[in-house]
Amino acid sequence: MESLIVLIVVLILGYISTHFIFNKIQSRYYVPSGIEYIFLGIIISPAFSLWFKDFLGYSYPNLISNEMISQLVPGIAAAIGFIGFFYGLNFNFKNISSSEPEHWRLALFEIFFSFLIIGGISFFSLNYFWGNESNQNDIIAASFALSVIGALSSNFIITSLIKTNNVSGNIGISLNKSSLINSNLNIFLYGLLFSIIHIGANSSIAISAIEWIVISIALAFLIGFLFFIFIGRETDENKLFVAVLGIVIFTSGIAYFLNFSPLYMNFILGMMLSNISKIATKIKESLEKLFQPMSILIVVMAGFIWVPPSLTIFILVVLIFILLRFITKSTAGAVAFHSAYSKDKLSPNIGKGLMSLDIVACAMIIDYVNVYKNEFTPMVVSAALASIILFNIAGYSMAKNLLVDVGEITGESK
Amino acid sequence: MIPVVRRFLIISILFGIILFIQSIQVESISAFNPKTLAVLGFLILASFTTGEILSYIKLPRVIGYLLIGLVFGPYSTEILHLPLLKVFSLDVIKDLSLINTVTLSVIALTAGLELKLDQIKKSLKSIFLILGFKTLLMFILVPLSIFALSSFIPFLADAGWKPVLAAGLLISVIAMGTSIELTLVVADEAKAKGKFIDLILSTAIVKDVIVILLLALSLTISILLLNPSSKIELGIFTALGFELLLSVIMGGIFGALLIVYLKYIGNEIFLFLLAFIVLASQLSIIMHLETLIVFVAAGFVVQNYSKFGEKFHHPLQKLSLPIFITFFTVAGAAIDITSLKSLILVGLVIVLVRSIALYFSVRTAAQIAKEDINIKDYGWMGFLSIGGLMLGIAIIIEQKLPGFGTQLKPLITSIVAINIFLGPILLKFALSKVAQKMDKEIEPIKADLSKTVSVTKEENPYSAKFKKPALSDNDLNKSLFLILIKLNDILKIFNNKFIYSRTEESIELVLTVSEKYTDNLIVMNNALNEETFDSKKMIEIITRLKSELSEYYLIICAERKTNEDNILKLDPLIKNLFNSLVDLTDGLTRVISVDLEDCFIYSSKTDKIIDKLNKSISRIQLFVRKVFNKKFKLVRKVEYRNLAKYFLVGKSSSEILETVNLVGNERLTTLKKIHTLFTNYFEYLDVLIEFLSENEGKADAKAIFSGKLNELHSIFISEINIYRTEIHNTTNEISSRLTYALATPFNNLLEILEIAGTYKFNQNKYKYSNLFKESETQKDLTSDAIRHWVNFYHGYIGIIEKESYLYKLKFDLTKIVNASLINISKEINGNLRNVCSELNVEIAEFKMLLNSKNSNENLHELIFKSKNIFFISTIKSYTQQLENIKRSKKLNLLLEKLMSDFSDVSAHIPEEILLLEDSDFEFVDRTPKFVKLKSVQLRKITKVILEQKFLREMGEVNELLLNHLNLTIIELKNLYSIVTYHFKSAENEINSPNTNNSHLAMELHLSLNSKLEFRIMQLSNQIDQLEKNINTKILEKVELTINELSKYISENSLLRANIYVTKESHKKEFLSIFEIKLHQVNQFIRKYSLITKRNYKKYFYPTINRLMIHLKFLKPISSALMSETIFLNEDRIKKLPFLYRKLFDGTTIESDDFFVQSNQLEKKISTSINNFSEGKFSSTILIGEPGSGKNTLINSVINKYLINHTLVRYEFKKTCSSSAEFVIILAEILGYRNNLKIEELILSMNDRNNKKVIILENIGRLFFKKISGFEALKTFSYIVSSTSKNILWICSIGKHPWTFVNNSFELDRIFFSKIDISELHRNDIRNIILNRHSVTGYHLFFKTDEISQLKNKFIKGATVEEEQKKASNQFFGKLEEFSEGNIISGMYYWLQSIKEVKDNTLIIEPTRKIQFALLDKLEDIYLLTLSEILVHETFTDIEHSLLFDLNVEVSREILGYLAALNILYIDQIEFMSNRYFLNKSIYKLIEKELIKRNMI
Repeated sequence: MESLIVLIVVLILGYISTHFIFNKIQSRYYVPSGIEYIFLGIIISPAFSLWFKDFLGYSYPNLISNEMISQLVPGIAAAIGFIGFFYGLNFNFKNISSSEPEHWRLALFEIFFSFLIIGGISFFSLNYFWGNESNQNDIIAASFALSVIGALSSNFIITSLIKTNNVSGNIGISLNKSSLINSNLNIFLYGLLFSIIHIGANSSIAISAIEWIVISIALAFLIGFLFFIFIGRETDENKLFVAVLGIVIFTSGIAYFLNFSPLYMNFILGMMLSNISKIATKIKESLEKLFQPMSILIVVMAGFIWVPPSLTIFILVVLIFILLRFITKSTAGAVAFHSAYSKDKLSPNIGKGLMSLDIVACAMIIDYVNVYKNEFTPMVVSAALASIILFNIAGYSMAKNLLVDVGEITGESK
Repeated sequence: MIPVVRRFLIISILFGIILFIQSIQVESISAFNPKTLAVLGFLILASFTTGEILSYIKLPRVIGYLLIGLVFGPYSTEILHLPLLKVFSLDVIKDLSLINTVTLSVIALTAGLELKLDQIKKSLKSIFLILGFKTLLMFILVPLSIFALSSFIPFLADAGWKPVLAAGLLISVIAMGTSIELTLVVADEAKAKGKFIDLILSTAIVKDVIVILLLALSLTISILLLNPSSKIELGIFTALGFELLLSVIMGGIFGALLIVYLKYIGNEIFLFLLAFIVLASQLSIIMHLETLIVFVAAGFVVQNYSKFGEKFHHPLQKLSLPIFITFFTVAGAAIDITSLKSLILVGLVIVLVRSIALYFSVRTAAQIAKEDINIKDYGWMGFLSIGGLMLGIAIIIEQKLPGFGTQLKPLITSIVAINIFLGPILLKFALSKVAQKMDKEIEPIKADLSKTVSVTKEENPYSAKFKKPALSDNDLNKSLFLILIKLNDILKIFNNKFIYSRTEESIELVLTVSEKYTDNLIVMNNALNEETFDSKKMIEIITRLKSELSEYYLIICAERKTNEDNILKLDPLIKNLFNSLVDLTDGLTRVISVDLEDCFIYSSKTDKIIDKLNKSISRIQLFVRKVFNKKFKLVRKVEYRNLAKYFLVGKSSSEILETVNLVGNERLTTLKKIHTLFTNYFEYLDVLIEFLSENEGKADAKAIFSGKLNELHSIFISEINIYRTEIHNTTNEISSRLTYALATPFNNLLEILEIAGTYKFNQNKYKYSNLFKESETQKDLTSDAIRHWVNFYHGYIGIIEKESYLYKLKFDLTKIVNASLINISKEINGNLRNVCSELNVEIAEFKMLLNSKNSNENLHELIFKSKNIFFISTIKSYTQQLENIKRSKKLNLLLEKLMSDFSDVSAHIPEEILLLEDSDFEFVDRTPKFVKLKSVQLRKITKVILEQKFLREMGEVNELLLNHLNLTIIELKNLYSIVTYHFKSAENEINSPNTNNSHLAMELHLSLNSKLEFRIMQLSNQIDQLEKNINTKILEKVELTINELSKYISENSLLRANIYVTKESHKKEFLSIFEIKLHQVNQFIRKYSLITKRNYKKYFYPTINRLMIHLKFLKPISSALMSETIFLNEDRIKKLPFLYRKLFDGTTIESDDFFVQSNQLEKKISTSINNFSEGKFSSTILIGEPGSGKNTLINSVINKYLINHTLVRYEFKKTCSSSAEFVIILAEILGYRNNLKIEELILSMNDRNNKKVIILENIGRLFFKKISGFEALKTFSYIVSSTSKNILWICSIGKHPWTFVNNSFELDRIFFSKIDISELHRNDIRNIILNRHSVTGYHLFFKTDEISQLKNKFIKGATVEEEQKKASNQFFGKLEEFSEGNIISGMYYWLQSIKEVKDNTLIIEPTRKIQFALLDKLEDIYLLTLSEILVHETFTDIEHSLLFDLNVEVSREILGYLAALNILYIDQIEFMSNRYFLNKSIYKLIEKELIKRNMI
């Protein structure tokens, strides 16, 4: 229980500091807040404490045990569910349909090239070095996860950049729209992984991957319908809160139990509500205050669950992944530009503007670790975490530089 | 029904999903059951839904939560025999145990927050009585029932009395419990408030402490009973007491932490509370504290020792709902049905006994404590519920009494299970009953209250009338009547002299305003009644009315400022009033005797002993005295004067103060109303303007406008009427308040005198001395209040004044920009529209002619003739007109004009206005407190904003206009080229022997027509667009400026206004220091890199280069390219703001604002003027090179010295070398016929009755260096010498032309006075530059030179200010040295030195002398051209060709080349012919170079 106290104290301090310091700094100069929590999570994690001891021969008190982590996991799953639900609520068909074909093309190229380059290279190299007959599924899962994280772009960071600099040009709009499409598609794709490579199925019933996909989507839709009739036109804030809390916990619980991604199932749920419920805005409002603490919890947890591989593998995996991600994004951007009909909406370097990663990537890592615990997990987590840290910091300035270069940020608004 | 079905459907789907996922997935094994999260979601949704279903049948929702737990819990199979239903396994329940702790903490915190100290104090007696009786009865009845039922309880059936007694005692402890959580949940659901629920809750909380103590006692006794050999451990009580104490202390600390958070952070309470509860509950567990007590104490502290209790209510409510749902569902699921099946009946009997015990204990306690009937009847139901906490006690019993405790646990569980369901139902029933009863009781009270309210509404609390004295003593009555009469006199005087006159004044004020509006309405109606309704005209009228209105308000403000001081007249009046009252009372009899009444002699039952004793003494006294005098009466000496003073002087003073404040407030209210009228009326006018702009040109605009006008008028009139009525009402109120102020003390005096003979009268109580101090204070306060009111009036008038000025300013600004920028724009666009329409007409005519001419010859004729008829002359004339506009003073001096207009506007604004802010008028109880009037530096702020910000913005618009003008001139010239090209080609075609020539010529003309049409159409579109842009921009900028001005005035700080200019916040200051430092570092690096490069270039590069060439790695450079341009940093100059460039572009300044006066000049000019007046020789020549300020000087002389003289002024722009031409010009400007002969002209000019001042500028253009090129000059010389006594000739000439003509014609002999301008300004360049610069509002930062910087690095330098001063001196010293008195040269150096503009600061680099090495590379003809241009000041290409005897084309080439190098600039004074001038900026440089070469 002491560990829980430590965790709560950390979260309270983190929250207050974010609330009072980072929010203010971030509103003026973009300082990516959240990164510090990844480091915090890493430092208080038992794996890092062990690694530190092995590496430096010096040990420090281990604040949180492995048992504690496993006790916290369902709670974290619920938090991820909240994030997924929140993203889903933002996925409104009306908004998405206003996107130009170029935006869709860019988002799809990003995914395509990521699967082609990152997925392909990681699959073949993992298979080459560690592959055997029994771990093919693990390799596919790892490659798939890396592809999705590689393809992912942060709409949150781009929106923040656009707002801060009052960008209204074509490239800014393209970055915003395509990153929104990209993140939503990637959440969906990522969710499919858990159905394709499903863990823990009842052996008495043979269920194929397609059937698992159908089950996951159908369940999300059924719960969405359930929530729709449950909530009706309720306007009482307290009741609404209980309903949202219950439905998100329920969906996350089912996803957790079935080894699906809570992010994905709640995303579908949120998406459904956003498009059919008349009180979607009210629901979103009741959740907005929870978004920040949930994010902090997820980011801390993402650092927390990191299990470092050996130093050589760590360096290699991280460097290669970051390089491949950079290449993938740049290529996708360039190809999208050259194949575009309206070239004014894109730029050859647009890929550089889509490098940033955010909370969704952290949530994906946690989802992955919850379900797939195998020899490749430390590699996937290391690569993803390192790229989150790097691209969270660099992604913003890269996008900004791009917009400066294309003349959409002139500095006048500052 | 449908909602119930819907909810059942929800539960079914939820259950279905759970069943489905269980069937397809294998549960993995981990520390935490993977199903828990899903189950948690399920239980929240299902329980909430069931709760809703139960609420339809008026049952507590909590039963629904418990039912879901029971149905889907691990023990449900025992009743329902359906294993499928088992959703919650024991593992899941264990996993959710954290919720239990959190829930208990939430419950305890909520309960603590419900405990209000004052309410507890009130109910303390009842609480302890209930608990006392409850304990007594429980500990009697429950053990007895256990004894009676022991044969039905398996483990007690054969036991002796000791185990039965032990069981009885322990069950009694359980029976004592009342669930706080269930009480809270049900109360929350029923939204119950009031004493009933408060008492139940408070008792339940206090009971917890007693239960803990009783449990310890019962356990000790039970241990003794079950094991006689054991000893009593007293330590357990000590530990318990310590634990309780520590829990309370920790609770207090937590409470304090909550207060601190709310006080200093206060955000995100919900999240903080959640984290706090989890953290604090965990800490309590670690410290082995009573969680319940800890949180109750924390809540109690927050509720009773801070004001934040309410702040927690909403977040706690939000938090508690999901937590309660989970808690009770888990509690329901945890009920072990298996174990209680056998004991359920026994449990039921015990519950019945417990209920009886509760009924009697609560009823008896309530009766003794005289509690409400509701508590007596239904209170017991509220104590029935037992919660999960008691199951915890069962576990403690099990631990302390192994074996026995385990056997007892099912019995406890059965009691808890029955109560857990029964308790909430009965509590809700009780609450609804209580609520019904309350409603019934409240209704009549409400009705009574509404009656009372309606009665009191009608009564005026301050209406009082003087009572008539009707005492038994006639003398006293007389005296009182006299007082009454005098008081009425005072009232009359006061009312007439002050209150009514003020009212009349207020009404008059409102009426005056309304009259003004009526006048305005008449003006608008008149305009409306005109035959043609023109929206634009109407807008103009309304705008004018607005301006007039703002001026009218300014007049009213000025009047009011004087008039409002009238309230000071109230001061002597009030003093008189007080004095009159004092005089009145001073004249009264000091003491009067009043007969004592019977009550004073005979005792009554209610009398105290001392009174009885007094009365006995009085009776004895009366008896004894009556023996001697039968008529004797006992009397009391009453200090009548003192008593009258007490009431009339002492008591009335506070009332009078109140009246004064009412009077004061009345005027302030009137002023506020006037202000509202003011703003409302402006808004109405704005609405009308907006309407007119939107509906401009519409057919029904007039009718709608008329309707709108009437509508707004009627609204306005009704507003005025309301105000008038209000003023009347207020006056009546004040009058009656004053009457009240005097009548009440008088009536009180009467009342007291009426009872003076009774025992009720206590003379000591009414001593004036008791009130004196207070009364004097009130008098002082009254005097202060009067002065304060004046202050407030002035402050408020200041607000109106400020707004009026802003409105006026807006109007003035719009007028100024309309008169300048918009007029120019209209003129330009008017010309363009004309040229377009004329060209269109010509195109049409030309087309017609073309169509009619078919034969070759006809066409030939048409083409040759029409060339001069159509197009060319039109284009030429309009191009010329536009060129004239471009060169006109109106455009070129626009900014200067605007600046001077803005200065005028600012100058007409008062230096400062005194006002108060709106917040200053928020005083309590109408009592004013002194607030110092705030001085707003209105003029300064306006000046800063207008002359620095607004001017810059107008500069941008001016730039837009200029660009447009330039572009259109170019466009017209293009049209000209197109036309000439087409005509020329057509002529060629016609002249060519080709047979198709006429056809081709025709085609050419058709093509010309279509091209012209297209271009004209484009031009027309541009005109409209630009006009719209300019108008909108200007209006927007005016609006913005006014808003900004208003903002700065409101913020009441000139400093803020300056901040606009400096824009230096602390952050920026820091950044700028950082940037400067960075800049210095960069400079340092650059400096050394330059030194290195320079040395390298100087010493190493030639050697290395030679070596490389020698080794044939490099080829030798054949010739150096000439790429030098005159403007070394032209890009840098282009980056400067337009306003800045404009001010330093060398254009003549019309006003003498920037001109630096000199004594020498004044002396010379004054002497000339004196001579002229006296008929002596007075002609004056001003000699100065281009850029020395000749024109500005002439302007200055005219403005300063020649205002009252008849003045003729002419500037020679072109060369005029013929005598006849000169005479014609002179005759024309003097207004004579132009065919006058020289002698006639001289004769006319010498007319002494018509003395004139003739100013001729640029007389250097009166000659041309060729044979017979000096005729005009000679004639000029002759005329001047012949008229110099009667005409004041002031002529200007360039330095070099003067040298040339003076040497040849000794012109200095005809000029009485010579002024060398360069000499005048030699040391004034600095002031001239800084004068101009200061209006731009930019700050200057002078960079020091490298040597100074280097020095500063080693030696601690002076302060920044000192360093800047020094750098500035150095800079201007050099600048004056290099520019040698030439202003434009100085400006050139100045512009070259501006390195960059950062925010509002210009960074100035040290001046460096510019070496003009370019001339070295020029051939002689170019140098000769330059030297001749110095002498002639200007010439055209044709004149050049004549002068140098060259072909015109060659001349054009030479001059064009020099123009390309920016040495010359071109102006097209004559159409399509270039006139060349020397670039004034580099005049000095060229002059020096030519002198060096002996060419001048």
